[in-house]
Amino acid sequence: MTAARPLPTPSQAAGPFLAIGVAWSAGRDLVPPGTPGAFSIRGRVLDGAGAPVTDAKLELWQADAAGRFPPDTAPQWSGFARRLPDGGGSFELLTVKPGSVPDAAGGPQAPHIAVSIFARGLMQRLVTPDLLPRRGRG
Amino acid sequence: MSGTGAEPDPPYLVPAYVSTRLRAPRRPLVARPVTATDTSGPLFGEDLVRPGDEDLTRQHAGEPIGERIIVSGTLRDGSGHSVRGGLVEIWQANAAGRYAQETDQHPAPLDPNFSGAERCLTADDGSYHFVTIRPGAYPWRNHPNAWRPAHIHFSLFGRCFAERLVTQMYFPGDPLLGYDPMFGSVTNRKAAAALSRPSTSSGPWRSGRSGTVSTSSSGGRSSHPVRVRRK
Repeated sequence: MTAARPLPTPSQAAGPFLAIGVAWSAGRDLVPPGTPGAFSIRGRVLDGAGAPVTDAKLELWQADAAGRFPPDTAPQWSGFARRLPDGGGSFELLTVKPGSVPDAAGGPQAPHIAVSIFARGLMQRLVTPDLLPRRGRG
Repeated sequence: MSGTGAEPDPPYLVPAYVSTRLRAPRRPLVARPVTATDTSGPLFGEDLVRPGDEDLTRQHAGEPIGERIIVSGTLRDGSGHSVRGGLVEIWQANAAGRYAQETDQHPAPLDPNFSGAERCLTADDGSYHFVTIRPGAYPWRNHPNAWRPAHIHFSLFGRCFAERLVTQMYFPGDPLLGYDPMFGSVTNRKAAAALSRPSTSSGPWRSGRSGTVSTSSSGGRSSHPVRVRRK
């Protein structure tokens, strides 16, 4: 069904009590421990003064090891994970290195995980690509 | 200030909302090229959402205190097309203005019959529907005697990573709206009106709230105001 092009609903900040909204989804890793090639991404969320941000929500989205997205992936692969930083602003996610995904022109892109950040004091989502090293175990 | 020509989205830096001062990007945002990463998205299946999840008044043995309301609407993409199977999550304070979260230390009573968070998938016509209670206003430390107007937080997923919106729903006529820097950050009047639409009556059992939520599909923007640092 098509309607008149709507004015997008404005964004608003998510926090500081965003944790109750994501409790059901926040803990899952992208692969179970012991998966061949699995590694952990660890990071910290800091504000402009370098203080840990504890009331943020991170969403990570990536292709599988073959560079595929649902519905072309194995049924157990979601490619999507959420994290709530701990008291020090830190987070960790067990995953595998995504395969290369073509850019709009069909050329190769560096393997990457897209990261969305929502938080108290953040009026809109921020998206940043987390580029992975080409070599090594990550 | 104001007018209908302004961007619907608020700026990142809203000086009156103190928390934005250290969290808004300091550098211009970098537009990301839209690729398969943005036009693909997670599949939220029925396994994540159980029937009855959309009723926040039936999660416990007893009924929560407060005014029972229906919150319903339609999820649309940036072109106006309804989005089927989108994930809609809401979270909110109880009728006394307290969240069931440890970090909320406002000394209003917790309601043992209200958790304040739920989710649903949009129907074939993009519609969603929650039963909940009207949340209370609560004080915060942004400025002297600051109270947040009653609001319900919304998180919306469309069909892909790019179709994503987190926002808040307000209640029309709330006298606190005029003092709230978050609501006030939306200077486009039409857009602001979409955040607090008038009620529609739905019988004596509960009053209604409805609205259309439209996600833009700009693909997201990249910056490092809140830095994500790998160890």
